[in-house]
Amino acid sequence: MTFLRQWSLIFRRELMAMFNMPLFYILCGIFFLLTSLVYLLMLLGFSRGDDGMSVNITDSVVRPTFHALHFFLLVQIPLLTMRMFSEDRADGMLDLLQTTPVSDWAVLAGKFTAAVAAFSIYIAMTAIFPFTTSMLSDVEWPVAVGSLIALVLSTAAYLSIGIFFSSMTDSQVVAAVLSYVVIFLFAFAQVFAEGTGIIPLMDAARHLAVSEHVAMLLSGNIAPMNIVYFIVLGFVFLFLTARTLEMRRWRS
Amino acid sequence: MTNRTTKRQASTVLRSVPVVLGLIGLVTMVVLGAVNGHFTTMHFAIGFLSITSMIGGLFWLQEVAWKQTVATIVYSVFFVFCATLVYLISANRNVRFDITRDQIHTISPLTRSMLNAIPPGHRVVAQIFAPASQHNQLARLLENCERESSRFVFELYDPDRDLDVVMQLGGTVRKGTIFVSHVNEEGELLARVDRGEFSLTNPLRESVLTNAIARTLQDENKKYYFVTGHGGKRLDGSDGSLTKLANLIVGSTFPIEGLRLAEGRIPDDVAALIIAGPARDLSAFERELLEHYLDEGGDLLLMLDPVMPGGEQLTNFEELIDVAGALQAPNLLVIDPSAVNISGYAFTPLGIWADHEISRATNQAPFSLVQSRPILANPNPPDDIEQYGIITTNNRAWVERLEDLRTLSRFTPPSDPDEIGVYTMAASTRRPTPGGRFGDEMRMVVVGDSEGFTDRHLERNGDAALFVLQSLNWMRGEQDLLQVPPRRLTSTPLNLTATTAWMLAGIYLGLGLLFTLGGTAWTVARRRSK
Repeated sequence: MTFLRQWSLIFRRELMAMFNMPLFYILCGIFFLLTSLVYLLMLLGFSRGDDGMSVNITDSVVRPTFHALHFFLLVQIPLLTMRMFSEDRADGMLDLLQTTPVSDWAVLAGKFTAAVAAFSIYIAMTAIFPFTTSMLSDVEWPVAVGSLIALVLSTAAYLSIGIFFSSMTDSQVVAAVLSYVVIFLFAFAQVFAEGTGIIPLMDAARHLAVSEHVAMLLSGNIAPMNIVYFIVLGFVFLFLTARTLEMRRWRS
Repeated sequence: MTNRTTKRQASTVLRSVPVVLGLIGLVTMVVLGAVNGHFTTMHFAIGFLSITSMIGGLFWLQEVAWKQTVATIVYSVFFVFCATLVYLISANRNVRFDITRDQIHTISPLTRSMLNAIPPGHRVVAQIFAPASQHNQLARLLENCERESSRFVFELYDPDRDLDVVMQLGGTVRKGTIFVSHVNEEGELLARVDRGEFSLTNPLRESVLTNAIARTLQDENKKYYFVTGHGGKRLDGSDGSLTKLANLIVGSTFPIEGLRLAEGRIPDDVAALIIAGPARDLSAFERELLEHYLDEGGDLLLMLDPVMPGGEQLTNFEELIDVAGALQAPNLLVIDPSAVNISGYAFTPLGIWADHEISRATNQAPFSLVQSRPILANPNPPDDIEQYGIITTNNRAWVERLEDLRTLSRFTPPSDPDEIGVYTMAASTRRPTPGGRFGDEMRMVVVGDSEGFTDRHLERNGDAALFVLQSLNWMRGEQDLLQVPPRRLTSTPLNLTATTAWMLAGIYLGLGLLFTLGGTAWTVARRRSK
């Protein structure tokens, strides 16, 4: 069985598992409604000309909404990734998988891409905000599309962190807690560093912090560096997950 | 069997200790930092150790032989190192794409030309002392500049921590100061300018940096002299002073110093004289001194308010600008019925930018003066004089005598329609002065009001400041070079009625509920069918 075939099997299985999980719809629904609320409030503030809002709708409404959505995703992701390996570890499915000729990387890639695909559908739903606004005003579509891509990339990076911790433990709660800790550290590294006032640390945190790269992409200031960052971060945690799975094989 | 289980449980508990300790360490770091209001190196050391302990502990929990664990850790560290290297390479070969319509993340062509004007082998070093919260934003602007020219270097400092740099630069550094130094091939300092301009609420503008670079490259030590001794506007920080404007001038161009004309001498390092809102007239001696200064190619910015009934007439000022610049500023009041009562002032005319070298590099957004004299061109100017209007009213204005002020509340237009039209409220004049002590050309800008530029009005009247800055630049022939217009986002009006808002709320709510309830129902149905 080729790697592609193995991956496709796992991908389909995981995607269906994700879509068969009521928690996915409930969490995504709740956060979609919250994002809608944020968006509508900003839209009303913009139409009233509230203080602190610029004259440009993309800058004042669309971009801050996607920023808020980014933080909502931080909260959601560990809750949905906590089960990805922990559940399989706990019910023995992982042991079973590891005895089949399916490679660890195929399992990992299948689970990861399925999670990214499911979240991409959810993120694509939020395109309704700039779409409806473009009927009432002039939205900068390149910035809006760039923001959606930024959200998908950051989601993929967070998912890889969540999957890594899920692969480390049988307990979903422990996996979720550890994922939250590390995701929040990555997300807010810059805030912590700014508090120290140590410039080399702040410079390092500027490169390390997810929120900094997301902010650049959301503002329409795109550098290959930002995209490479998300790819590298995702790969690092996927690699660590692969190592964990391999260690498990040794133990078996 | 029970013994083995107990042993196994004890082993798991033992192997969980590093994870638990790591978690406790991380929580402690965040809580301590939050309580102290800042994070120190100690917090970071705790955080780093905690994460290492947590991840190491998690690997240990996998219950694999030490050899494999160590191999995994080494392999992982190597991979992380390679990944970091890939990222750093991409960061160093940083290319940016500004996909915003207004190109708000791109440096202006003026800044670009200034950076490209740095001579080969020379370096311009910007040392910036900024609040930590501004470092990221500053770094983006400065990285853009660095990308444009490898001869530009920047260093970000914290004045509270980098005391050695502070001492090296003179010990008077505070947050919000930018030093720009020009260094030649041998590392010799050719020029250094400092700008103490930006703050938390007023971040560093690109124009400040561009102007500082320009000044460093020009290596000039000029000053603006603010003429005192005529009861005019002051620079004392009060609401009625021009302190904010003066700070902007210093931040963008040259320093300002006070000058009393009665002392009988105008210094050689004068960039231009500024006279703002005099309440007392010039003496004959002072007028002669200024006439001589202008004949020698000096530059003058004069803000001449209308004189209220009972005030001292400013005849010598009026005659000076007529003789030297063929401009007339009769003591009349411009009435603009479209802009009355703006900011609670009765005679506020709205200033519209005329086509002029000064206005071309600005956004040309209208701004209001408080009460203005008309500035008229002498009908018979000498051949060598060029005069142009800079700020005018709209075509519905007229002028009134100030003695009639009490009856003006009715704002009845004059019966003669010829008196209604466009009036100039600021004008420029230039005259060649070959071989003059102060330059080969005299340039003068006269404005019919000074009150609109005071601290009380300036912040709400943003382009008023731009007018003065650009006038000063024009007087030095640098109007195209030095004023980087601030980036403005395109206005995108929103046509949102209450009905549309409710409709949008309905669509979003509907979609959210459809996704949640539909998805949940579907999963339940699928589970039941199985």
